[in-house]
Amino acid sequence: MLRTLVPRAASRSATRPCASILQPTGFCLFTYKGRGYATEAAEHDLVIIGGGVAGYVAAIKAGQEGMKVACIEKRGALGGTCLNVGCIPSKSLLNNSFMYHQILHDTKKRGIDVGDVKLNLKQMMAAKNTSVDGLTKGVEFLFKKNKVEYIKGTAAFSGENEVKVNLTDGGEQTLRAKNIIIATGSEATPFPGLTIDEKKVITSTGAIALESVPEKMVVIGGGIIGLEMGSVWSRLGSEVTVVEFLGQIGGPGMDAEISKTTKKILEKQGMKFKLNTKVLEGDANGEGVKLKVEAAKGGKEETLDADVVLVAIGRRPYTAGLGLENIGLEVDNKGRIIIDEQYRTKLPHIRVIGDCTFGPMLAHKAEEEAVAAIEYIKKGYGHVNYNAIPSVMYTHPEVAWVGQNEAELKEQGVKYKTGSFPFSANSRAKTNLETEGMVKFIADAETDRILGIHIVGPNAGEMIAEGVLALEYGASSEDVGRTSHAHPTLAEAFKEAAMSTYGKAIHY
Amino acid sequence: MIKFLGKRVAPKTISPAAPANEPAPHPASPSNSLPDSFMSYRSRVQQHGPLANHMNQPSSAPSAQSASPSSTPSPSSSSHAYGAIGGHSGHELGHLEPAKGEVWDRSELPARFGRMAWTDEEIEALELGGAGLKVGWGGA
Repeated sequence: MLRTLVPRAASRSATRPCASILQPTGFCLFTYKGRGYATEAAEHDLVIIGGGVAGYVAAIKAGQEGMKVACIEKRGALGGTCLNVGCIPSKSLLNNSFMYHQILHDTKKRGIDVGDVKLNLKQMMAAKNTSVDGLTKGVEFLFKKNKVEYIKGTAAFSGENEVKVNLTDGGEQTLRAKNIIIATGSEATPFPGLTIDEKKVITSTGAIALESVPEKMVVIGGGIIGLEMGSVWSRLGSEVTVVEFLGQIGGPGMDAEISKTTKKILEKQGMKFKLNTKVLEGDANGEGVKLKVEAAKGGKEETLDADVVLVAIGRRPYTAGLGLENIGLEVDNKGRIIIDEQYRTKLPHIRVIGDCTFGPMLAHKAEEEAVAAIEYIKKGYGHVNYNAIPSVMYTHPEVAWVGQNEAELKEQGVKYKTGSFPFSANSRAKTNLETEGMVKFIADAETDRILGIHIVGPNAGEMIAEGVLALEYGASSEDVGRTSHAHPTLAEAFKEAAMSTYGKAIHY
Repeated sequence: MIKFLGKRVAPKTISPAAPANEPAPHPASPSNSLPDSFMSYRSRVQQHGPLANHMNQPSSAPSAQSASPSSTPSPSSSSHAYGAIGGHSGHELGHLEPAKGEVWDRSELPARFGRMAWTDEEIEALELGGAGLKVGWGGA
């Protein structure tokens, strides 16, 4: 009850029309005369928009926590980009194309004579689809197990606590929720001037579904997606040229020394690179695609011919059609929805996780956020350590890293020491005849605390898990070096790299 | 070496990284800041809306906070049981409008309270640009 009298000045400002008081949101709390709530039965504890990795993990976790949860997905299959057209199908192709390539080129010295080897691309794609279908159906099963309501349709905000869904099977449904999580993911960033048709000019989505092996492929962007998909088609017989604007491959985060080593290895496998090169324009009107390129700092123009151009210059948040403007939610200059450290938007009951907000666009980062967001809702606290999120590039050999690289530490003025160990000195790598690459540790010069671990070599993606754990626990390189690693394993290279950081490796 | 002291027990109270009513920037936010709209929205819903009951109330809380309707149920004594904000249904929290006979904001008072008649002294003060203003008059 307002009992005190306030100065006239305050009185005047308080009697201004609501619209002038109420900032950019465009709605007014005081005008909610008719605001009412749905019945208990109709209201969900949580509605999640998006059934990708962030969304489905949040839904399952919420179900486990006993919340009444619904997950809305428009694709027709759960799992989002990762399961349907990203991580999973590309790994299937990477694995099978590697086997094909190895059988063709790497069997004689191992004492295996093979006969006529042929590529059956249709079957390779079918194997990929089988993996994808199995996993997406597995998620559907987990939804049922955890009592998650799965709604197929396209969602848009119609109010602060209300989402309207255009159902895939026709009709419309309105959901009211105490909490809403936006997990709508990301889409490939298009290249200006080139129209994506997923046949000649493709994104990663088209790159996992080509019907024949193109003779020449140009990849715009030498990041993880470009190099992985470039590897697949290179192994299957394409002449692949990667055009990268920056001076190194692998994208931000990859250590310069590791990037250089990786480039050499990929070049030996037949891939070509044009670094510090800018794509000026593309013409896809003819039979193939013509790309005009020049040196990034200015130089002679050159035209590259390709049957297929893969645009892999990054991804951007996908929030189109979500109706963010209906409830006044803000995005930054890159289209990411602005959130606080508990994933809350301006409207605290609406949270955002995964690719459509801050942080690296990685499925495992999204999963971590999904669990943390539910814990924040349920318990008031959650945990994601953004300094200990691994990155993996699934080429052969794989590249993996966690923490900071040398360039980043130099920029911050941190004093550090490094230690590395080559796989050529590792017994298991020798027996496997896969000796390319190395493990590199970066540790604080004074405290020996591990600041970053960078690996290029066989099984790097699995090996980095130990590095993430070390970083999460704040381990020193000596902690790792004094831990027993089984012999003979590739992991011994990890231990010896740690040893060489605080002392000396035994086998090198 | 790490020595474990016994069975793991969750602490009774866990402080969030920042009080729930003071949103902190996301650790991966490139600008490391939040738009003003975050705080302005929250201060509004916490001052006048049902969230007022469930937030860590700052010591300088406006008097309107204590004026929340007493009929509003308190779903939990702990501000972090089932989430600090957004953990409860709006239905459970109560209405955004005050109960009958109560007001949360001056703007909701009948017009006669919002539009007080000008006094001769005020009119004179305006006309003279405050030159004839008596000491202490404007302090309310």
